[in-house]
Amino acid sequence: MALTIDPKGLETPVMHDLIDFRGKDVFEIGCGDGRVTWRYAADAATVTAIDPDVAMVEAAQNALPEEHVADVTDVRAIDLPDSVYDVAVFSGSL
Amino acid sequence: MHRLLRPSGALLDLHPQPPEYRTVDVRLGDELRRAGRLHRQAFFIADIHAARDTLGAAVSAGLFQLDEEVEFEYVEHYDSVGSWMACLANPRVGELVADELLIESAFAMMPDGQAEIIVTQLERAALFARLG
Repeated sequence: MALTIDPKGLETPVMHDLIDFRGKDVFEIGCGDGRVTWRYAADAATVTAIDPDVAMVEAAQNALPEEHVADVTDVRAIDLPDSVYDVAVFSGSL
Repeated sequence: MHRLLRPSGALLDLHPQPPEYRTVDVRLGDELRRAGRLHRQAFFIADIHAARDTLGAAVSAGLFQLDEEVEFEYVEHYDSVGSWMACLANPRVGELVADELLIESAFAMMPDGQAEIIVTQLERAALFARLG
């Protein structure tokens, strides 16, 4: 293996200790390559993950299950309805 | 973000501490040595500071309340030259300020599985409850 991430497995349990993602509608800002997204996506009801970096989002799209969404956008440029998400995740940027 | 969340909604903030750099260690055989720092690009650091400022303002405005926060080590192990080069090519990764001899020694020993480059950062996970 060429790259091992978080070999002590600390990040995933920390996230899940703080939030129960099961059945939740999640909106993630700054998803990058999906490094954080995949840690909860399987539990969530829906995931909308955005990032302004095209290359990063392509990597995220390849890493995520098909039913989840990763898109390239500036969060200030999108028009989303009120009160549609249970959880917002800021993964390293805004 | 406040209006996008349902009334019982929560916000999970994951940010590196400090945002400016990660530490780089090299394992040569059984020996672990500090090699230097791997900095982040200025735009990414600015994003992180902007996010913190925005969150702080949202808390001050009574939109969110900090419920809990945890710090933990987030570690990446690179045991091939190719994976390390891919890391350095990440657009968010900035300058590597490290002992070049140690890095070169790691490169030489990686094919035999005797070396790796270890990048560590402290990460803060903070949970905020939506108010109002």
